[in-house]
Amino acid sequence: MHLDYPDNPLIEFLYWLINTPGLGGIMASVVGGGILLAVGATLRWISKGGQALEPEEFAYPTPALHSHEDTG
Amino acid sequence: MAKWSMVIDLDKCVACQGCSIACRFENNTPVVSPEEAALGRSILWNEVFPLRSEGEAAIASAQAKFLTRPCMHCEDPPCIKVCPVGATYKDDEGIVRQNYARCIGCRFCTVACPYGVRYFNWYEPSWEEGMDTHLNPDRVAGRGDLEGPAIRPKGVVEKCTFCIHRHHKAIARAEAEGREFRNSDYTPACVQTCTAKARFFGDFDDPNSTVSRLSQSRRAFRLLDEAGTSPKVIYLHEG
Amino acid sequence: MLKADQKDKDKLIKPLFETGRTYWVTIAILLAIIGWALYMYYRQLTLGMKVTGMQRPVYWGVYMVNFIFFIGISHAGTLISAILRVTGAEWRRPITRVAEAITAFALIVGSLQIIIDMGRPDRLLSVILNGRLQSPILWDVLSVTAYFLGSITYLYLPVIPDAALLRDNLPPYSPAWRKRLYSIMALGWRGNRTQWIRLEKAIAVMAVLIIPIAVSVHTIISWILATTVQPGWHSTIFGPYFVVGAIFSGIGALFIAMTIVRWKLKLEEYITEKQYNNLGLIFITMSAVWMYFTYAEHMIITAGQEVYEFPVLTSKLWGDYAVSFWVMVALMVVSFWIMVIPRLISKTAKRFLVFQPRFTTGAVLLAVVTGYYLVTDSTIPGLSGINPETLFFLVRGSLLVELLFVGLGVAKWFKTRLVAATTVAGVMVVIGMWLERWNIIIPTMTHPYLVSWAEYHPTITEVALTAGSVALFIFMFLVFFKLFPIISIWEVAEGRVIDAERAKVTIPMPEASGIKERLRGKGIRKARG
Ligand code: SF4
Ligand code: SF4
Repeated sequence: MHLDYPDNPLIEFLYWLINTPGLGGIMASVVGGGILLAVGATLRWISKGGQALEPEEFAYPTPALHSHEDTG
Repeated sequence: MAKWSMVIDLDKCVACQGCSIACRFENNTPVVSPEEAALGRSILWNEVFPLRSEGEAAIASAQAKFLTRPCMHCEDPPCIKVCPVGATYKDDEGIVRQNYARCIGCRFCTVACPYGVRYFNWYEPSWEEGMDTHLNPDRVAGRGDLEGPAIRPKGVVEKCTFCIHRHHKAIARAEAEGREFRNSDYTPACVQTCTAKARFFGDFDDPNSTVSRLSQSRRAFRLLDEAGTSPKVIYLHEG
Repeated sequence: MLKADQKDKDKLIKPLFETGRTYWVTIAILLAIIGWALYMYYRQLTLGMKVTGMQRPVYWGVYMVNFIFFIGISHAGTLISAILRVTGAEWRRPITRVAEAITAFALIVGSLQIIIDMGRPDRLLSVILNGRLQSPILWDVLSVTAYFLGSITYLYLPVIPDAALLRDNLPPYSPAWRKRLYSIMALGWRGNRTQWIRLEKAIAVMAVLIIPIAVSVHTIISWILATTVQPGWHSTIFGPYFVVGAIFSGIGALFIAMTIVRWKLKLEEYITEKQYNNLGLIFITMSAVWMYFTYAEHMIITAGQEVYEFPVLTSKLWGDYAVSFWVMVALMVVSFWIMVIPRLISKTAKRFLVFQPRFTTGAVLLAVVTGYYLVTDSTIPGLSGINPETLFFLVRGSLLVELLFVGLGVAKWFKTRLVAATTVAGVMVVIGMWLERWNIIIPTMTHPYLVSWAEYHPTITEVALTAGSVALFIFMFLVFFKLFPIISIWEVAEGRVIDAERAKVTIPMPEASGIKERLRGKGIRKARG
């Protein structure tokens, strides 16, 4: 006896989704590409932070940096 | 649409392995050397083997029960579910097919099949001199996929296809003769060759076909029914 | 221009530019092993998979074991360092970089195993072009991709300020390409307030995101096995079981890496006993959970009345795989013992005879003699009168007691040697977890439903590729840490600042008289401070 799925368009669609060769690759590319984009954007965002007009530079996150954290 | 199915009467089967050999020549399965065969690398789409529970003693005294085993062409095949690329798939008529051109050789299906039906090409197939010129030239028509008797490259999985190319040939012949395709036009090589006429093949959806009627027999059973695969090969018990 | 602290400069930056002979010799050896493995892989490509020991029905062998093992190791890092970061465990600071590097490299080596295992690696792209979402392999592709990209990022983010620091503090004799490398890696890092805040935010978000991904990765790897109907695999426990095992082996690998790094670069000031102690506690927990799962998995099979699962179980308990199974159990038990028992016995245990070295030596000798009699099955002089069955239990029982005494003596020795104990336990667990993967895959593969049972012996090709994989892992590790500091300089500095702040706060001693009694009870005579 095998699993009998009800005749339901949603279930049929889901089955099509998991059973069609190629869709998995698209999904993988979307996930991979999405992560890469997000990472790239984050790195850019961090890098761009350097353009802020702040004269002080900290080699380490010292107390001087932290004491102003809430205002910054 | 037919639902192809096979019935094997174990009472009639004499374990002559004729089906194995017929299959080998029909489907160009490569021959392996004795050393490789001892390692468990022989390829027999239809294998005839003694059942494990009988033990060595039973084999020695010729009491062992033998089983002939093609692909079950499961209704709910675990092999298809796990294939990452759709290299193995069920066609409209319920035959579980294998596309050598797409298989990536991950061997997930071989692990998933409970019947040990699937074989991996551990190396480039080769034939002895003389044999190599007498291979079956039949090919499966289609999208240019490598299927059925086509020569496999190394590193892919192959398995019994119910002689799918014979199906295609039968349809083509019926067309050429200008008549309707009849179910009896199509028989796999093992069924055709069977010494004891123990194998039957036909449309399971047709209530009057031999397979349908035999499957109603009290001796009918399916192999490893508990695996939930719903095989389309039905056995008839001995005795 | 960012200025590095003098201590960091000497301890962390200088070794990056001064390379000793041992380093090059190690690299050469590793490259030789990798070269050998490459040659063997080339043979496998041209001759086909027949050069492996795999056959029908053992379609998966050592490569699959390695795959699960390496992906397991990769949980060292990201998961541990992410969990510690999220929970704000301060002591994590010196070890996060090592842990994250293990993750990234183990993932690369692990994913490589799949390609090695494929019959048609040339069709790898097919997994993307024709990928079917129903197959657990696709789930794996998804989660491993996410995990890999995530952990590379997670490794890279904290490197940014360090790369900037290196860029500005290069020793005069360093080659020009390194300056270029660090400037690129630093992404124009200036260290102004906005950048620091953004960086810490990004790291915090990553740390949270990476945890569910890491859990999903090993769950899905277990599902590759559990979604088949093979005897012994089709179990719901596999997901959590594999995740716990992965974290467990990950910590083991981390211990080994930490100790080597600490010893080679003399970083005792950075990686202290505190890291070993705290991580050791997590290790003990994981060990206990792992044993629970292992017990549950096997125990349920005995009650399951599944005729196809019994042969798999018995092959592990007393059949073909008894050696690998019981060695695994022994390694896990012993590693648990040397992590737990030294913590339990008191410092003054020396008073008791069983903890004295001469007693332990005696026990070792006796155990060797008893073991000898047991293995060779020879008669023991003077005891020939005893009924053989009684003798059987007598010999085994006395061996157990002797081993217990040895264990106690060893535990005493490890009491004052936390680092040694932890490292030994780490090595044991890494080996034990490899065996665990083996014990899960091979016995099931050799005991299928219908096909006759088989044996599996890995060939030299599989050995070579395994050795090559390990070598590649170490090689990447060594190269990476020749280029980047092994300890996250800025994070440790931040930790120092936090510690200094904390030290300023003094908590007055409570005056309640009961305190004195309680302290005395603990063996402290005078309240300090
Ligand atoms: S018998 Fe095996 S190969 Fe054939 S359809 Fe069933 S699972 Fe697939
Ligand atoms: S070996 Fe081939 S047919 Fe089998 S699961 Fe992998 S890709 Fe599919």
